[in-house]
Amino acid sequence: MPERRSEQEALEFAEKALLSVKRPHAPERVRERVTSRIHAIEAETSWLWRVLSRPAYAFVAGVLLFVMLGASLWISPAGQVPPAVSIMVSPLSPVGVSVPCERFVPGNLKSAI
Amino acid sequence: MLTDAELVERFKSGERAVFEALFSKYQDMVFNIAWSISGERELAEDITQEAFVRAYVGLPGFRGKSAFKTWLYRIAVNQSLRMRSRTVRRTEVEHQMEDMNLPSEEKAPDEMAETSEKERRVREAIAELPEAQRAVVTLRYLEGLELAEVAEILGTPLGTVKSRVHHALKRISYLLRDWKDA
Repeated sequence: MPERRSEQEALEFAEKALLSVKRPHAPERVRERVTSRIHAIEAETSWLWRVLSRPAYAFVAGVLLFVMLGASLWISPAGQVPPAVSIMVSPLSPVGVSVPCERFVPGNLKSAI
Repeated sequence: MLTDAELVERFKSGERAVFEALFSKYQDMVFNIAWSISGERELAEDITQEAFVRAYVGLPGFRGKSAFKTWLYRIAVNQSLRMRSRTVRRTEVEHQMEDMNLPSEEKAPDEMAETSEKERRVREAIAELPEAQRAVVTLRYLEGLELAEVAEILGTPLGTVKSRVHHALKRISYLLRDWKDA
């Protein structure tokens, strides 16, 4: 019984000690640091948004994404490229050269683009 | 004054400036958790910063299944545990390079005054606890939450929380035994 009482006393003592700790105030510099990080995040987001919100840029980005996705999906392990890829690729070629569509290896497609 | 739910709704509808109000309301709470769990005031500043940045980035996806406060508590605890373990690993490496004998960073006088000797001892005792107990003790006693709330924040069964509190109190009592006897 005395052991139990002493354990109870120990627990109460620890509780009292913990409750005596006051909540500290966060230093003002934390606010400044958070604000500057948030501004940086906002600036990045708005830059991306500015680009994507312009129809012309959004269209180009969409076409590029489509080509990359299409190429990665359609190139078979044997290097076979379907005609669809050449149709997609040719308008993007800076000199207007259409891409031959027999047998391809991924490196050739990259150099053709 | 707007409630947390209203502030969160405004934030999600594009009024990003309301985050300032949420920050002002909860900065001390997050800092307190960070200090208690990390055991270092300087590290607590970094943790507080990261926790709020994470909250800012994650808030658009906040579904409101729990209260904003509970969600923020969870971010603060997780961030504190993560950054502390990273620092502990780094400190172990630094200890191996102690021959360099660089002077430690001095605390500002106001920061020294804020933590009394008694508080310092208690904080040191908390820092001696295992991670899981430290988190429980911080939320229960330093933040004054109910055990059920602590269990919800930590995603731990209530019985486990109670047991951790019990063990933590015994350990703290032991660590402060000289003070108790005095």
